[in-house]
Amino acid sequence: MTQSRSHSKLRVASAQAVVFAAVGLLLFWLFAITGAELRARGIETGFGFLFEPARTAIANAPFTFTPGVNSNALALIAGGLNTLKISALVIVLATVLGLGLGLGRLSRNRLLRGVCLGYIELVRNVPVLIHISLCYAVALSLPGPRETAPFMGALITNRGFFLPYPAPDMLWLASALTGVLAALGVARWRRHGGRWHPGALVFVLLTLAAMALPWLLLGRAPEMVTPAVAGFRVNGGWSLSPELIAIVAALTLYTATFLGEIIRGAIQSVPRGQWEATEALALPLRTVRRSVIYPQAIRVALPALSNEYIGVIKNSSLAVVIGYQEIVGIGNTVLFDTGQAVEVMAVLAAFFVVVSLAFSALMNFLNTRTAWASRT
Amino acid sequence: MTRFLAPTIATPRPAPQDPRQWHDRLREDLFYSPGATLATLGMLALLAFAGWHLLNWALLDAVFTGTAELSPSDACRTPGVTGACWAVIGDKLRLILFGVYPYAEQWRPAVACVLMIVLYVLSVQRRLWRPSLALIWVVFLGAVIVLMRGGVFGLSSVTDDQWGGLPVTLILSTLGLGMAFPVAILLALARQQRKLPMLQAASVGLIEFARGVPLLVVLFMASVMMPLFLPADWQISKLLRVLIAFTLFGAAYLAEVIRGGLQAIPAGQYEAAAALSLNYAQTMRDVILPQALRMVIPGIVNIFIGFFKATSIVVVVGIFDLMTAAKRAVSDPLWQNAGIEVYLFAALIYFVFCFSLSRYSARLERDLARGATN
Repeated sequence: MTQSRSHSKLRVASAQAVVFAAVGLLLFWLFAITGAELRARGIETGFGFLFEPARTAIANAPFTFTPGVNSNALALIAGGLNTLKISALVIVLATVLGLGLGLGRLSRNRLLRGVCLGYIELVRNVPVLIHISLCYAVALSLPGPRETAPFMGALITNRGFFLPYPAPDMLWLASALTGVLAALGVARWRRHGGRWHPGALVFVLLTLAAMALPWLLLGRAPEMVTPAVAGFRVNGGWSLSPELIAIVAALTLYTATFLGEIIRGAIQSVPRGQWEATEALALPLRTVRRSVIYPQAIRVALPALSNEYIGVIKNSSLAVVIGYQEIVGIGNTVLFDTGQAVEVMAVLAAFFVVVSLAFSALMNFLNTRTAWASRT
Repeated sequence: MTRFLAPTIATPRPAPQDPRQWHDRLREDLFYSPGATLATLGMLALLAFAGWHLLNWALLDAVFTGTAELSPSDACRTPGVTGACWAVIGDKLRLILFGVYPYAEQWRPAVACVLMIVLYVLSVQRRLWRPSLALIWVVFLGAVIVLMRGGVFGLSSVTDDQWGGLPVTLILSTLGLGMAFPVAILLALARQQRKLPMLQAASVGLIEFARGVPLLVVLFMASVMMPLFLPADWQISKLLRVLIAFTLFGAAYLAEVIRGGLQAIPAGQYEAAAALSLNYAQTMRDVILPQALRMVIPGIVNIFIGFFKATSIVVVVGIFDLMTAAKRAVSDPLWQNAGIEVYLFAALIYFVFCFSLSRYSARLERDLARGATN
């Protein structure tokens, strides 16, 4: 873009100076007023408060957190970990659901297309905060621990979900070992084998069969830790609080609609000539999708997907409305305990900017890996 | 020349009919293979199951009003009631729609909402896409504010901490975006100034900061930090502070959309303007911006939809919008178990606005794309 009207050097320099002076004055004004305001309220500026003991307990701390002993900084770290935990869960689950929705929208089956479109339109036109509140209301309206029967060892109650998890047992280790060996073997066969190329289903079934082999040999199943109702409480098992379930479910259901549309758009963006070329080569449909269409679609979808994923990290801050303590919720608590508004806001902003930048760097790396050299 | 042209204008023919019979179509769309048949039947069974339960819950077993003996909330809590409790909507409708606005004056927020909707309907008319549309916006939004605030024309004064419900949602999103628009144009233009790196850096810094932080953090800043930044004797109400935050936040997102439009303008347009010896302001005002903005209108509508949904986040800083009103309705001890019903009702209101806007945006995108290829 050429701006043929040539700015004289003097004009450019003076314009620069005006901008510089304006920004400088604005910052000076803000600092002068803020300083006076803070002194008037008796608030000391600085980040010293981070290392003072925290006053308020954390409801969903990922590690044992004792108020009065552990510092505000540790509280914020706990919050940051919770933010990352929600985001990671949502990104994985929403990608799976979004993939289903996106492929469903392109299915030949008209009913499936309709169901996916209906779901997407219904969910994405309602604020995510309403989804969170609704999911929370649903999670709290589940039956109590004493009114429900375990389902496959899991307890689904209004106090949260309690899932069984594997107990320390050598049999699990043996199972994992045979599973990995079988998977490696079949994968090798698929690559170098003769006439027989097992499909994905056969692959999974063979691996599962190999994992069950040690159980059959020893004649017993490995042990699990299962939750049990004791009074009004539930003991044992892997517990997920209703707040965590609500925020993860709501963000997953909401984000998946956007991911689905991105994936659909990316697949549709592959030029028709590519489909026609594969037909001319008489390639089977499965190979066409896996080797021709999807690799090109991923390249188109990745930038938009990474935007959505960063959106998930930012949206996880909405957990504050249902009282799940992620970094914004904890920052808010620290702010009210210490009054250090500017510093806490700076920490929160820095956290999100750093996480977003780190995530974009990761996605950019993936992008360069998936993108091939542009044709000349 | 004329002998290559048809002598008469051809009458348009109707679109070709689908020659397939209904059962052929059904087979080709739903039962084209054993797997598809299985999937279709499975989905039908699932839909029937879910639909039947939904019908029971939402209509057949639901409680819509109280009876002569029972108040609405008691009617919902009668043992054996398993359906939805829609009676809460009737009981709390005015609270959800208009918040704590003085009860006798609630015709004013109602009229304000109607004015806003008329404004939307006017704004989507393509023949009104002229600079004078900005004037229409100023007049309508001014009328809405006067109506809500009162204090003139014999209307009693209502301070903005008493405003609530749907009008606040509409005001925050519409006024916020309206105010963000000029800021966004300036930001987008500043970002293009390669010869003024200071200005460019300031614009990039503001845009990337606003886009990198959650709206929630920006709102917290507006509610707890902004008072520290301003002289102590400046009294700015919380609603206004949040509106300013929304304006800056929205301007950052809008600026990126507008930048997309600016970048799509071919260099020839700039060169043509320079050949006519137009200066920078004239080039932008008369040549570049009219084309660039027209191009990105679908993007602006999408930002507006996102904005409209995002206003619900003000519940966290205690502004009384539609979402807060819904939450307040549920916090009534009489209706504590009616959360699902109230939130579904609020969801319906949001859905009506967002769905119609997104349909409009999709149609517009198609029309503009068609216009571009012709």
